[in-house]
Amino acid sequence: MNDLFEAFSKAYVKALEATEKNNFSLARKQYLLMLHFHERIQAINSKTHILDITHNNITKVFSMINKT
Amino acid sequence: MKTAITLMFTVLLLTLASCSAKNNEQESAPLFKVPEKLLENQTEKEEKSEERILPVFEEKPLAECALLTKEEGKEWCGLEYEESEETSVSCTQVFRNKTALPVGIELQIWKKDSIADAKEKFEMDLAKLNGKLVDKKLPLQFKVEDQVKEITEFVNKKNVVKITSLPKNSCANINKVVSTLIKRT
Repeated sequence: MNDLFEAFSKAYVKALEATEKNNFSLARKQYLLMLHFHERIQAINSKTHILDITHNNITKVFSMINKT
Repeated sequence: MKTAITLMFTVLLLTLASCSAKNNEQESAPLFKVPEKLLENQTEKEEKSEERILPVFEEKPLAECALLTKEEGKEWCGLEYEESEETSVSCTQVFRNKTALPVGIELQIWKKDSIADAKEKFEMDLAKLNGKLVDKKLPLQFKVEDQVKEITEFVNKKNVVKITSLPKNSCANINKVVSTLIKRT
């Protein structure tokens, strides 16, 4: 489970870096990875508001990137 | 004589007109001139900053049922207030770090009609979450801890309060939060 969190965090850092550099294709990949890890975290964990909000935020950012 | 007076009046009018024109020029003129290049760079920078896509999270108003203030969440946990929600049966409040990462605490309170109802919910949660009763603690409380999350739930009078920390230790002073919530319920 901690590995999942670590993978999620790494993807997030990479996504932010890629976004800063306007490398949106890489950012997209990283946000997709985040969604994937997030789903797995959610499946293991009991459902919480924190996870829900996080999921909404990632989806929002991902859709913003997809529009560019 | 008449011509002389008219001439003098005309000269006076012209002088006044030129004075007011100068004043107008002075008012409209900038106090200092900004180099055009700098202005161009500024607009470029502004455009670029608009292009950058970073997560922007809107702050939602604190519900009346909220258990902690925004300041307490920041001071005790180092977390920002995210949102609170009130339903007919419960009230939830979330504090988290303002990134996409799922790090934060969630406070939930259920206000039951009677002490017996509150105790029943507490016991059901204890069994459902496979919690461990905390010894010698009043009010009654249990904890659930795994590699990722930490849940503390207690029953006080007609209230059941659940504090979820995800991942565990995401709030630096969770004990202070728990003791404050006990006092406030």
